[in-house]
Amino acid sequence: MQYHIPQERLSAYIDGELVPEEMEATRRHLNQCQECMSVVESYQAVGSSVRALLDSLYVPEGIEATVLQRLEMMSGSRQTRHLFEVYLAGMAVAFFGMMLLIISPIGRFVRVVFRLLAAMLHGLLMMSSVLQLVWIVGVGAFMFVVLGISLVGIRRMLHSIQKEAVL
Amino acid sequence: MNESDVALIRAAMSGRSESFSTLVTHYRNFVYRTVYGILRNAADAEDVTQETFIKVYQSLKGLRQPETFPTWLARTAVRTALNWVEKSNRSRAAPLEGNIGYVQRDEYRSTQIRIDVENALNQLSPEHRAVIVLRELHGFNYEEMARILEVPVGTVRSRLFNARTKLRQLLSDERGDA
Repeated sequence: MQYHIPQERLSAYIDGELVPEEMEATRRHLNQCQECMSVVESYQAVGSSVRALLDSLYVPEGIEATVLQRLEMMSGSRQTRHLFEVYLAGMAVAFFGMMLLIISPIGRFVRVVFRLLAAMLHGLLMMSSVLQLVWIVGVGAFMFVVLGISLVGIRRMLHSIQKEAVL
Repeated sequence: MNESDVALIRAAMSGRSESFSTLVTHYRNFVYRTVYGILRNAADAEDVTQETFIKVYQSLKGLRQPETFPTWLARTAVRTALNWVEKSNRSRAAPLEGNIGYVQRDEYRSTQIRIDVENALNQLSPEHRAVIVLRELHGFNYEEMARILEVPVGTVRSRLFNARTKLRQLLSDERGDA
């Protein structure tokens, strides 16, 4: 009974994937064995059929434009996402900056000043409800006069500073 | 792969979109035939071809040796096609009529052989189709195929043998040889 080469080895032989000694031995065997040779030929025919089929296929025209268009769209949406991320990061930095400012010594000072101003405003508002209209008008007029005097004083002071600078 | 392709790849790596567009022109049929061989559906193959080139563009800067571009491109195409099959399982319902518009009008198309090969390929698993396409169409060696498919060389060898044997049997049945 004649020896036949395993078909898996014949498949590898077609692809040139056997070691040189095996390649040579298989080649010698194929010269003598028609049955193994027909297996090799059948595998080669299968390969040719598949190649002929796939080689006859062509991708539709214009795929380059479609790919570039999709890439541009992706780039646009990526930029939008990037801007949104920068905005969110900015908001986070601002928030934590504010928190740090509040708990820092400077923040305490800011809070004290804020409370002082709030208290003054609250006091002024309370005065309007406590005092009668005539007194409110009197206080208003007084504050108006004081403000006017202050402004005139500041103006004169600035004027004299400018003169000194010129001299 | 020639020198001009290497230059194109380098230009595309530096972000020149017109070079990448030319690269797509040069390799579009390479990718399309590869993914079509696995998916067996023209519309899906077109989508996966686009998807493959988008992936390639996004990861092109990671390619260290432009000379290995065809292998790298084939790997991306095969992985994208196999993922597509896994995700949608569309290849099992691949209609043969859908392919007609994308096939060159040559003599071969009209023959019964073509239909037989189409039918036979349809009955293989996507993994078997992948090895057949990589070997018979592109001529990759076992080591390259193992890298592309991320399997051992021994698996490539046995998978290719099984795919060939099954195809031979199926074609023989189609032609009434058995």
